[in-house]
Amino acid sequence: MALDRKLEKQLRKIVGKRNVLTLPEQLTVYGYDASLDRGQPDAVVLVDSTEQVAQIVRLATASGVPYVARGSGTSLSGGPVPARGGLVLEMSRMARVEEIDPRDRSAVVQAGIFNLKIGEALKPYGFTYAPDPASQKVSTIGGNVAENAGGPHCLKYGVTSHHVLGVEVVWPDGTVEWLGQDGEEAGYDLLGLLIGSEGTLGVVTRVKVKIVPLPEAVKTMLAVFDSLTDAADAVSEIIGEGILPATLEMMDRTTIQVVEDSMAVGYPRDAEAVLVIEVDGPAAGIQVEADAVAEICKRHRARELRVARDDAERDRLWAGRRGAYGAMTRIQPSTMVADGTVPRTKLPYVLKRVAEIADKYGLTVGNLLHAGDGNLHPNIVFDASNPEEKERALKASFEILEVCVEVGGTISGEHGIGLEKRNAMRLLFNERELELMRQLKHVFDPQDLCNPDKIFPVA
Amino acid sequence: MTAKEAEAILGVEVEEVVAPETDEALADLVKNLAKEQRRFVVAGSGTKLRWGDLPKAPSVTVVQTTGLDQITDHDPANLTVSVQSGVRYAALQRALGEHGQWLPLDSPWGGDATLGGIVAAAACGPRRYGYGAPRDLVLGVRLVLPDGSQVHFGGKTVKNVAGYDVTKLLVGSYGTLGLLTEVTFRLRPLPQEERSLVLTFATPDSLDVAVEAVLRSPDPVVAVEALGTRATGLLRSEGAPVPDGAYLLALRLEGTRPVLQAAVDRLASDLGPEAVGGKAAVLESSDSAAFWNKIERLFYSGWQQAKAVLKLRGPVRNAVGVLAALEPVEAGLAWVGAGTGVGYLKIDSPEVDLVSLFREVRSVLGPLRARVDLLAADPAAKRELSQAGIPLWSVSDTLLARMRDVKKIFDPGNLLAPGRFVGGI
Ligand SMILES: Cc1cc2nc3c(=O)[nH]c(=O)nc-3n(C[C@H](O)[C@H](O)[C@H](O)COP(=O)(O)OP(=O)(O)OC[C@H]3O[C@@H](n4cnc5c(N)ncnc54)[C@H](O)[C@@H]3O)c2cc1C
Repeated sequence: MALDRKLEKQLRKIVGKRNVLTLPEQLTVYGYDASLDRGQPDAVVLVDSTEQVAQIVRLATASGVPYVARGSGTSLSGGPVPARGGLVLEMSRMARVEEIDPRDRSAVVQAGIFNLKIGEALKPYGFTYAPDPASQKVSTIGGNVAENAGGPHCLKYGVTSHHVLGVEVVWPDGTVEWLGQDGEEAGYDLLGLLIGSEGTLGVVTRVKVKIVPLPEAVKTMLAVFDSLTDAADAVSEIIGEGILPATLEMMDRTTIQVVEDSMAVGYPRDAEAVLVIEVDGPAAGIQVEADAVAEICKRHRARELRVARDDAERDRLWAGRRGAYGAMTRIQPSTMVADGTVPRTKLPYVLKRVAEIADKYGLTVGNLLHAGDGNLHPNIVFDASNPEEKERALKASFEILEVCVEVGGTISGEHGIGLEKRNAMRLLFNERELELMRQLKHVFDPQDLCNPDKIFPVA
Repeated sequence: MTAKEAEAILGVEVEEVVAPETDEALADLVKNLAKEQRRFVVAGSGTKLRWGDLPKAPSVTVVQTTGLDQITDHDPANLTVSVQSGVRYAALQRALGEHGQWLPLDSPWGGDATLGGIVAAAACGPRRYGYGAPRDLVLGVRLVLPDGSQVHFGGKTVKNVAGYDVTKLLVGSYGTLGLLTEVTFRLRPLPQEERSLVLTFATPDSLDVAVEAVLRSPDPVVAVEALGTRATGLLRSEGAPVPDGAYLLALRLEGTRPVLQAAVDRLASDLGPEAVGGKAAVLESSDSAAFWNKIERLFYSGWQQAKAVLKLRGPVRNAVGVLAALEPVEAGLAWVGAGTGVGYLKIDSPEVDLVSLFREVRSVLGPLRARVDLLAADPAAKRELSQAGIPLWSVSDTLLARMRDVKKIFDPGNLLAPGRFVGGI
C-alpha cells in the first residue's frame, strides 16, 4: 500500500520535511526487529513531541491508516513490525530527561530515551532505575513499558510494571492523558493494563519512573558447575533458604562456549553451567549474604567460585552475560529465542526437555536463563534462509512453549507475544478469555489501527 | 453476615446472603441470579463492605465468599501461594509462617479480612512502602463473570507478559467486574528481625527534612508513616512509646540483625537532635511489632463506626505538606505514608458537616496536587455527599469514560455491585 500524497504532505507539515522517510531503502530498515518477523511501513515519521504524536495519531485515525510506535526495534517478538504497513512513529528524538526528584523518588523522562541513559542521569544523585533488560544500552523506556521488560536485577527489584508510576499516553482517538502523574489514580488500574500491552492501546510519550537509592555494597560472583541440574538446584535452594540475591543468571555449556569464542571474558569452556550471582544491599550484611550463597553453591558441587575483586572484574563477568545473546547470533545467521517462564523448581526438568527437543529436531540450542525468576531463554541457532531448517526451528520453539505451559508456566516472561507467539496464546487462554482481551483492545482502539495484528491468535 | 447487617452497611434492601462452598456452586448461583436479572454485591468477611458507594439498585443479593476457604496450592520452593478468595488473612499468614514465609502485605483492618476482599479493595497498610501494593504482589486470578463463565488471567510465575495484564484491572475493582474465586500471590521469606524508630518533630518542616533523608537512604526501611499532631497525641495518650514533639515519623525496618543495627544507629543520628531535630525512640523486635499493632488498632480498626474516612492520594514529595495542610481540620485524625503518597483522614464525630469538610479538604489539598476520595462511611454520610453533588472519588471524566467501557465488557447487564465504584460504575 503506497502512502497517499495528501497524507504525506500533512505528515511533513507536522514534523518537518526531513522527518518523514519514504524511500524504499529507508523503509526496509523499519520493517523488522530482533525477531524473524518482517513488514514494510509506508512511511516513517520521526516525532519530537507529544503534540506531534497526537496530531499524527489523529491524522492516521481520520485516514484509516495503521500506525505503530517504535523505540529501538530490539523487540524479540515482532512487536514494532508494521504488520499491515502504514506509519511507523519513530520515538528516538524524544529522549530527554525532564525531571529528577529524589524527594519524590521519581523521575520523568520522554519515551524514546534509552534505559541505560536514565540510570546514568540518576547516578550523580545516588539513585538508579532498577529494571535492566540486557538490551538496556539501546532499548527505550517506551519499548520497556510496552513489553513490561524484565532483566537480571528484576529478581530482587521487580519488573517494569513495579517501577513505572505514571505515563503520558496518546490514545488512539488522539487525546492526550496522564495516568499517575500525581500519585495513584482512583478506579480501574488502566496504567497496569497499559504496561505490557505491546503498544496496541496507545502511544506512550512520557514516563514517570520510580527511582531507588543505589545499593551501598555489591558483590558479584561466578559459580561454575559440572552439571546443569546442580546449578538449577542451587538456584532453587538459594531462594528457598530465604536469600534474595539481586541476580541469579545462568548460562549453559553451549552459551558459555559461544561467549568465550566471541569475547573471552574468562568463563571456563568445559563447564556445564555458570551462574552469575550478584548480592547487593547494606554494607553490614553483604558478606554474610555472599557467604551463604557460596555455601549453597558448594553444597551443590560448584567446582569453582570466583568473586569479582573490583569493578573491572565485575564488568567482565557481566559483559559475558549481557553479550551472550548477541554472541549467539554470530554463530549462525539466525537465532530464535524462546521466553518461557516456569516455577523455578521445574527448571531442571524443563531444561532436560529442551535438550530432547533440540535433539529431535537436530538443532543447536544454547540456554540463557534469568534462573531466579524461572525465565528461560533457549536460543535456537539456525539458518533462516533454509526454509526446511526454519520450519524445524519454529516447531522446536513451539514445543518448548508447550512444555513450559505443561509445568504450570507461561509462554512469555518478558519479550511479549507480538507476531511471533500469537498462535501460542491458545496454550494459555480459552476463547472467552481471548474475547475479553479483544474487547479491551476495542475499547481503546475501536478502528484497530494502533499496532494491529499483534498478540491475538490468527489461526 | 446476616441480611440485616449487610443492609445497615449497604443502605439498600438485601434479599439474602448466600455463601457457596465451591467455585461451581458460585458459578451456578451467579448464572441463576443473572437469569433473573438480580443485582448482587460480593462480600468477604465484611471488614471493607463500608468502602465504596451505596449500590444503585432497590435491592441486592449478597454473595459471600467465606465458604471458599481453601489454600489451594502453596509452593514454598517457588515462593507462591494460591488461595480461594474466602481464605482469611490471619489463617493464611499462619500457614505460610510454618514454612518461614509470609505474604508481605499488611491487613490493618484485621486478620479476619479475606484475601479476595483485600485484593478487590486493593487494601494494604504501611509496609506497602517496602513490599508493594496488592497490584505488585498478585500474580494471577480466577474469577466468575456475571454470565457465569469461569475465566483466569495471569498465572503462578512472577514474570508473565502473555496477553494483556487483565489481572491488574481486577485488583482494586471493588467487585464490579467479576467474582474472584482464587488469587495467586508471590511470597517472601519471613524477615529475621525487625526494629522501629519512632521520631517526633516540632514542625512539619523538620519532619519533611527527615522524610527526605529516609527516602534517600538505602536502608531496609519498609514503612515510613507520618502522623499529624492529633494522631500523634492519641498514640501517646494510649501509651505508645512516643517522645515529646508534635509530629511523628515512624520507621519500620526488617532484615538481619547486623544490618538493622547499623541502619538504626545511622538513621537515629542522621535524624536526631543535632541533625534534623528529631527525638527518637528505638524499638526492638517485639516492642516494634506491638507498636505497629497499636497503630492498626487506633487508626484502622474503628472504620466501621467512624463517620467517614477520607483517602488522600498525592505525589510523594507533598505527603508531609498534605499532613500540614490538614492540621486546621480539627475534626480529623490524619496520617500519611510519607514514601507512598497515600494517606487517610478519619472523622469520628457524627456531628461533623461532611459536605463542608469535604469541600475544605479538597480545596486545601488542590494546590498540593493531592486528591481526595470518600473511602468508608455510613450510608447517611454517603447520601449527604451525593445529594450535595459531590462525587465520592476524584477521577477525570475522560478516564472515567474508558472505565465505563471496561465495565461493560465484563458486566454488560450491570448486575455486579452497580453504583459502588468510581463515577457510579
Ligand atoms: C540482545 C537483546 C537482549 C534483550 N534482553 C532483554 C531482557 O533482558 N529483558 C527484556 O525484557 N527484554 C530483552 N530484550 C527484548 C527487548 O530489548 C525489549 O522488549 C525492549 O523493551 C524493547 O525496547 P525497544 O525500545 O527496542 O522497543 P521496540 O522493539 O522498538 O518496540 C517494542 C514494542 O514496544 C512498542 N513501543 C515502543 N515504543 C513505544 C511507545 N513510546 N509507546 C507505545 N508503544 C511503544 C512497539 O510498538 C513494540 O510493540 C532483549 C533484546 C535483545 C536484542
